[in-house]
Amino acid sequence: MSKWRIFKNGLFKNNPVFVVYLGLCPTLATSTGIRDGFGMGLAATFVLLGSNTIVSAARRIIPRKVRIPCFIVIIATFVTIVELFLSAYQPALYKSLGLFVPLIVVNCIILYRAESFASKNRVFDSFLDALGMGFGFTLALLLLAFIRESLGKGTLLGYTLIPGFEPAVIMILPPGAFLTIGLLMGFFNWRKNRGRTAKCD
Amino acid sequence: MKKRGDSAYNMVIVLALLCAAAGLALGGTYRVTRGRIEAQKERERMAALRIVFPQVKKDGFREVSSPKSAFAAGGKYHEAYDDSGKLVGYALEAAGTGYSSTIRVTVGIDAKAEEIRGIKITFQQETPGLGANCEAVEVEETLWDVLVGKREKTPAREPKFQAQFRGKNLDHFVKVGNKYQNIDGLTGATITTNAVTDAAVAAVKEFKKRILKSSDAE
Amino acid sequence: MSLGTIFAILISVIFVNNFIFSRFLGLCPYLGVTKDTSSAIGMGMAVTFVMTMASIVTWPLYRYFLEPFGLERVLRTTSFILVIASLVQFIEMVLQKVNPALYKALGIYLPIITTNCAILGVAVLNIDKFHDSYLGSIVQGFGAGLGFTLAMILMSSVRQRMEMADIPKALQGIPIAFVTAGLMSMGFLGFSGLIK
Repeated sequence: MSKWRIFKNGLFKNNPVFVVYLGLCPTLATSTGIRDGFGMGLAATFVLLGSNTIVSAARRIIPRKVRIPCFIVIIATFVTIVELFLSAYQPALYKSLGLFVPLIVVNCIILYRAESFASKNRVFDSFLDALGMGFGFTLALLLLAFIRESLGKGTLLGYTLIPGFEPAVIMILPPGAFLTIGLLMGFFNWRKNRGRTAKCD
Repeated sequence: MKKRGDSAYNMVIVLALLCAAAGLALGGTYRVTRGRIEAQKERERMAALRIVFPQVKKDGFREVSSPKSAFAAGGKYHEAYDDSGKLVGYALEAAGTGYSSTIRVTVGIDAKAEEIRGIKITFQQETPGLGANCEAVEVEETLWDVLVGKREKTPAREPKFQAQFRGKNLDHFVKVGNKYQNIDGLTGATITTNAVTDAAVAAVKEFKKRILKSSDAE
Repeated sequence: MSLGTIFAILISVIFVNNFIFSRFLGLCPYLGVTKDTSSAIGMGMAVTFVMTMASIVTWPLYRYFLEPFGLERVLRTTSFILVIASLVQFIEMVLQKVNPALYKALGIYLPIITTNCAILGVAVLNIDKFHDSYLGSIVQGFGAGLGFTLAMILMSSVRQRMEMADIPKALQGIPIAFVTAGLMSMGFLGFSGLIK
């Protein structure tokens, strides 16, 4: 696979959230606003980059039997680094992401890529894969956050969209998250199916 | 992944090396960020104090240790002295159970514990758009204004919900049933509204009773 | 800690702040294992057990080991997840030896539980909410598992019925599961304010 293909893979075709259905917990929880969603996306991308790179670099040394604990240690280290930097340089974002910053360590996307790609491929390829997957995750978050913030708070990035608009608060509450993602997934499925039947003709 | 190196010896060595490397990375990061994290905490603490007592300078605040109570959630409260050394009032650290988090409030009161000078919510993780509006500052520009470049930014204001506590005497806080009569509640967030108000009022009352040993507190 | 407080914690974590419907924790198994009720119950029981054990082990680790040495910010996440992973391994081994029948029923779920964000989530929440109360942490851990199981059972019952419903092709499977979860989550919103 060409370098470009490796990167692009995680963006749309194998988008971790909408195609592989991974990383759903943080996607739903932190998409109440674009600022938070983007912050989470970047934090997770950073951890993904770090873990994919190190796992790939060490892939010939890590014995198979203990690979999962090794991956966990590597991922947890990067997550802690992110936690420390966020609480030092972006305390407001850290507070609003709350519980979900340490939870990046159990974000299935990261372990999934370490196990199925980074442990079997070269360092630069793994780096690109991480970049693609991370950006794909961030795109999913932004899409959800855009819908939820504009409909649920009437704002984008904190600024009002239409003055006097009474937002549908349910959108920023848990039901709104579930409904939005369910309908979005349905929409993407529909597009995929349409493409398929058209080709058969 | 290496298949041959599955011996127990090898596994232990690799794991040990990995943990050592991780330890170094974490230790290093901690050293780099620790100073800033502590400074941040100190800055937030000072900011809360200055907001409730704008006329008091930084070194006018004296920390007093106290066992945890309604008015000393972190085990301490502050005395506030103005430039001439006169006791202006106290800053209490109240806390209350909100809807989805424990809300922490710094309450500034006068020296007789009869009037709330102001409050500052220092920690909350309430529902965004509802309870979290207790910290919301009214921004007048819309997104369009920002994009188009209308640069007159609204000056940083006090959150509307918290501003209403300024200069209110204790008997302003009358609760009938589950609602405070004179408090402008947060839309759709009665629990958060009550949590903040209850915490502030309870802190002042208990402070008055325990520290000032005033006889007219109930 | 009075019985009343324990009851209040349980109500709070099972209904008011249900891990799946309010906190978004534990969604992966939620989607994967709720196709039929018996596997939902099995997964629920396994998760409850692991959550309780994780609460029992991580709280003292944090309070008596990390905090006294000032390591709580640096090592919390790493030590918690490693402890949880080892705990799950350990439980699997013990279960295999002690109760092979139970192992056959629940054993397949155990490895996936390690990456279940609900387990790490409850460990971290325990420190947040019950920093000073060991018993409170354990009750919350146990209750969180119960709430999770409840959500699983509710979901699987509905999904089993949906097998026979006429759902548009694009929505079949995961999408409609999410929409259903959304409706149930709305129902659970009704519990808010139950516990002061």
